[in-house]
Amino acid sequence: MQASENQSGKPSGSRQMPIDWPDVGFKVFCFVILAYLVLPVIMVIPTAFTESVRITFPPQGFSLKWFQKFFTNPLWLNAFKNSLIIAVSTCVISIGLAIPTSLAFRKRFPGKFTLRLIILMPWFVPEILIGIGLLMFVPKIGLYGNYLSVIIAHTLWGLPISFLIISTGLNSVDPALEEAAQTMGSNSLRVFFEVTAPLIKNALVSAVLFCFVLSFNEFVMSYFLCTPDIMTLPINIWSMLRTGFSPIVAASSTVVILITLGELVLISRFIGFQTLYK
Amino acid sequence: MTALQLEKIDKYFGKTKAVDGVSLEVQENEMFFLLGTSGCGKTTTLRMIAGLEQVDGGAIRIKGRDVTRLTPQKRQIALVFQNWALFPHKTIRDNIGFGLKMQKQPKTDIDAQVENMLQVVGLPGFEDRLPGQLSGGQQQRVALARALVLNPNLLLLDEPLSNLDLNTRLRMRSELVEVHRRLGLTTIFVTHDQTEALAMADRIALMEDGKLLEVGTPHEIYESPHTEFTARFIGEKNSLQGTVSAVSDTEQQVRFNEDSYLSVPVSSKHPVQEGDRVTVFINAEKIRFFKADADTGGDNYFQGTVENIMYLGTSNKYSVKLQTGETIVHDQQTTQDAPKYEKGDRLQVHLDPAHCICIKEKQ
Ligand SMILES: Nc1ncnc2c1ncn2[C@@H]1O[C@H](COP(=O)(O)OP(=O)(O)OP(=O)(O)O)[C@@H](O)[C@H]1O
Ligand SMILES: [Mg+2]
Repeated sequence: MQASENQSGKPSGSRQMPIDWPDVGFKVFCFVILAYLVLPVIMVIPTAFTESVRITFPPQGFSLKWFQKFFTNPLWLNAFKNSLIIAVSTCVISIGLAIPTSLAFRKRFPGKFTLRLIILMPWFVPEILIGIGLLMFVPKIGLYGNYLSVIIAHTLWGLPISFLIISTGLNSVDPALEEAAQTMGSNSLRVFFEVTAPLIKNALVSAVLFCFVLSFNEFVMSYFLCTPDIMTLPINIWSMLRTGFSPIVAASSTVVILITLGELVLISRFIGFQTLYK
Repeated sequence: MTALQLEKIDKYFGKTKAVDGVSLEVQENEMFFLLGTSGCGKTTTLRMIAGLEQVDGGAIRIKGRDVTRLTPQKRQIALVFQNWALFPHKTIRDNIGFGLKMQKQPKTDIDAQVENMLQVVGLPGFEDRLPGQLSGGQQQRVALARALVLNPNLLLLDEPLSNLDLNTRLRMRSELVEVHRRLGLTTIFVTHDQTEALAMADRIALMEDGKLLEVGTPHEIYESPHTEFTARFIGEKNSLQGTVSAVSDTEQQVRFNEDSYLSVPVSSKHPVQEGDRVTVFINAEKIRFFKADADTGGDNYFQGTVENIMYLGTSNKYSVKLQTGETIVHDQQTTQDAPKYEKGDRLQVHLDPAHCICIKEKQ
């Protein structure tokens, strides 16, 4: 008690903490890095609220008219809708494939190593190469201009990423729990839904969210495959940019950024990203 | 009626043979123990009975029905894992009721049975907790309840008490025996703890290196083991090596050197011939001490010197160097009237022939 009174009550000159310059330097450094990471992402947001018809920085006045235009213009609205359809389908297909795949990969089987490489490969190959490949392949199977072509392309990414996330989740499941359920009369489907799935719930949700963001923001592969009918939001932003930087582009970018940020918040709630900084 | 029959079952993991031709029969309502050192194949045997591992050879019959190729969910057995394997995301009610739910019993029936089972294992009112909110001993009981509620053909327990502290473990031992007696369930209990096996078992099967060595009641296993491995593994036995120098109808003489020998009654279990190299085993607590100058006379008394004394609470453990050159240990209860010996004291050691087990050495 006395000691604390002494410290907080009358700070004497000799007790004053010297400034820890290395510490201050480190904090400034971190702040700069953070700004460097964040600023390019959020720069565009204020410009979407401008009143003028051209993008200026800093923006002039405040209005929501560009957002209103975005949500009433059929071209933008259609791109937005397409992006959503493609992202949701990519999620469903990727997760639907990744679950049985990662369950199978817990067992030993011949060719496991090679198969894992094949599944993960699209994630490491330059997108532009996949894009070229798809452009040659997709018309052959008659899917050019079809949603399915873009969904297939995005699943090439969605599958490996959800495979990795779900496999990591499964690693932490004690096999005895599933065996216990088996001995108590569950078939493998019920074991999955009663025991495995609830235990890897966070991994499943994260995989869904990751797939969604990847697909929703994907540009290069879509660029190769998109026809006007199935134009996605990033492609539309790109083509509008070529005709001039209207604030409606900024508004649509803001929508994309907000959706992505929202997902990030959700992901970090579910897996907490603790695994990254623990 | 035989509840379980194993017929020469084998299991390979790659090149290693984890279980090697194990055959055994377990009777209805029996508390049967599989005992052996770590890695001898106990868990693997249990998992094959449960159907969680496929057998590589042999057959398994439960109540006369061949289940060798049946999946676990068709075998109507219950397995309690070493770490209990309670579902962490389900309440105690849902954990215990899980098997009943799989049988599609109505919810009200399930709840009634769960409540009843929690009564049996002494945890009434714990329905709504999660496993993480229970102590180790309580989780152990829930695991037991989850197995018992299914009224299985066989209850398989894989070292269910080894994660508990000593006091809880001792309490759970008697509770398990009590529950077993009350419900009369055929139980196979795996452990590496011989005191657990001796205290609880109707019969014990001893395993070593994937093989079944012998099966017997705790008394048989402890007092008159068949094999040298059992003799060394169970209890704390002294072993003295010698040569059979004479065999009569009732007695055989084991000579250690020119002027010291031991007379042991002939045993039909362990026939020996003159000239055989043998090992004589005697349990540490069966040895008796006499004063060095006591007038004892007769066979099987040896002169010795106390080399070391270890205080163990309930007993003192003496190490005595015999005149034959061997060192033997003796556990003497620390009762008040037991004579005390000090380090360096000379004394006489009596090896009672009735407790000596004489086993021929392997060539
Ligand atoms: N899945 C497996 N793959 C490869 N080898 C295994 C596997 N399971 C067990 N083994 C091996 O089989 C042998 C028997 O193992 P088991 O688990 O049955 O031993 P245990 O008697 O239960 O031992 P403990 O008392 O330590 O639990 C060991 O040598 C072990 O290394
Ligand atoms: Mg084991």
